[in-house]
Amino acid sequence: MLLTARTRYPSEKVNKKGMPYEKYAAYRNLIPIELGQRGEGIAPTAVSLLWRDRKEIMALVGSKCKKCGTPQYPAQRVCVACGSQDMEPYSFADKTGKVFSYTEDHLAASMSPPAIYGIIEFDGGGRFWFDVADCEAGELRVEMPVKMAFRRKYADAERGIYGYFWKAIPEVT
Amino acid sequence: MIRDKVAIIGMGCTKFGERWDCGYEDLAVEAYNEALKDAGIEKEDIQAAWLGTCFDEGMTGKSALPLSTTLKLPFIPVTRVENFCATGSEALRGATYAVASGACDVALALGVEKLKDTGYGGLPEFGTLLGTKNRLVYPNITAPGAFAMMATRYFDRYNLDPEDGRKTLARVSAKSHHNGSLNSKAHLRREVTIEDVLKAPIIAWPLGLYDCCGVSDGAAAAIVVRAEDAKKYRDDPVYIKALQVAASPGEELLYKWDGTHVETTARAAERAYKEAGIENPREEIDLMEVHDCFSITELVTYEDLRISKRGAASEDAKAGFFDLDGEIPCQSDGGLKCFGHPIGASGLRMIYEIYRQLQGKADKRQIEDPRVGLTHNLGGFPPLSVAAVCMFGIDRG
Repeated sequence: MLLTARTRYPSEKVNKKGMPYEKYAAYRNLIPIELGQRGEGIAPTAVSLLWRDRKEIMALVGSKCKKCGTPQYPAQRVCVACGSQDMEPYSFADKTGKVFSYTEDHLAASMSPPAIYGIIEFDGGGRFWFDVADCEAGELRVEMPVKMAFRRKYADAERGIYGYFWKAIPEVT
Repeated sequence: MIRDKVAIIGMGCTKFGERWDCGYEDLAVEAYNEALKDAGIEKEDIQAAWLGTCFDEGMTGKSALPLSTTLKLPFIPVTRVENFCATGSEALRGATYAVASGACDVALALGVEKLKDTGYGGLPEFGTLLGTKNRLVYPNITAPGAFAMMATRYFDRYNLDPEDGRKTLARVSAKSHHNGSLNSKAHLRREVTIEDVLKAPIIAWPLGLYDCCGVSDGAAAAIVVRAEDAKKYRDDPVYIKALQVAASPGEELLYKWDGTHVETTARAAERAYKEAGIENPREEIDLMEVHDCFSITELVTYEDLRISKRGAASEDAKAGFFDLDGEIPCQSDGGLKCFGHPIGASGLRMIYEIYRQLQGKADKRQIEDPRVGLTHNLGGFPPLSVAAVCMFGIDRG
């Protein structure tokens, strides 16, 4: 059985291969999966931190130096380029970017191994590492264009908390 | 400048491996006893001590107590240091600066790590160690994954197709496995061929199992005194020529970095060469122990240390430049590749090999008349790291 995947960047192309049923079933808790020891260490979500850094985490807002103009994520107190402490908010959620580098990690805890993540360089400046979603092993390449999407990052079922964050969606050709 | 101010007069190193029958206390005592005997001193001679350890707290917590209570050190000042994989080198730095300053005359640096009890393949999960914010924003990055990203970028930059790139890396690992097979203290002692490396399961693309160092238990220790006192203890003390540490300011990941080198290594190396009075490292260094947590790390370290030109490390590796009989033998003891990486112990374990080689006591692995050796540690992820570069010599300048 194949399920149609989510909309893909950029032209609402649908993944013709569909989503493997095992992956769907794992994410829906329909089948038990073994996450391994690395998947056991779920720390409690620090709600105070989530509130304090809500723009940074929920809206992907970093900072831009007022003096030299360098965008940076996560938000920095001291500019990474010139050392100035005069910073203003800067949104990365609407920025496109490119894959600077990536890996397919079979050791990392993942609902659907291998975990695919990479360093994303934003057009206009700024760089950070993100999970890569809507992409299968073997599809990613250096310099591949990406956009950002707000997705579920983890499920802390014990405490009933579901964490969301931004993932990179590659334009797989 | 610390050059020639302090000398190592005794060292100890346990066998590294899956030491199921030993707790971290047993490992610490084993390294300590060998170091004390080697230096010809008694416990009462030690006036201060530095402990390097990261994971096991010895039922006492993040403090000096795991060491002072294990060895029953008699109320002397003991300091615990922790700086990722550079932890062992940091312990030596603390002890060295203390004797150099005259604050004490004889100091102990001991690094120990009991990793196998954590139960992990690879290092324990970072998620719970990096603080509460990490899990909200970081991917589930593992150490092999973080270094794999450097390999991906390196292959892309130098137009190596993945198979060629992986073959180059395999050469690095096979070389170290050969050296480790000659060392009774190493964990992994079997020769491994390039084909074996290439056929192994992938851990984090493009790195396979044999591109990754092992996970082991171990400890190593050093005793230091001021250089002018060293000959009172032994005829062949080893002089410290440089101790340098560089920590990322964060710019590599967030701002500018080519993804194919480690800036902290390059910065620490330049300062270490200046401190040791080295002008041309490719000509003046006789042997090195570098931080081969992964094969790609060793490859870019050749370039970061200015032994190989940028992009030329694979040529040097293929030409056998770093082999045991090459021009600058690298990982003569087998490296992290064969010793595994008990975090707190690794830096001092590397120094132990340099110390023994400079004294001409490296058994089947002995290099012909080495005078100057280098050790390199790299902690963290390539763009967010702490690097230590230390240099040692058998001659007092």
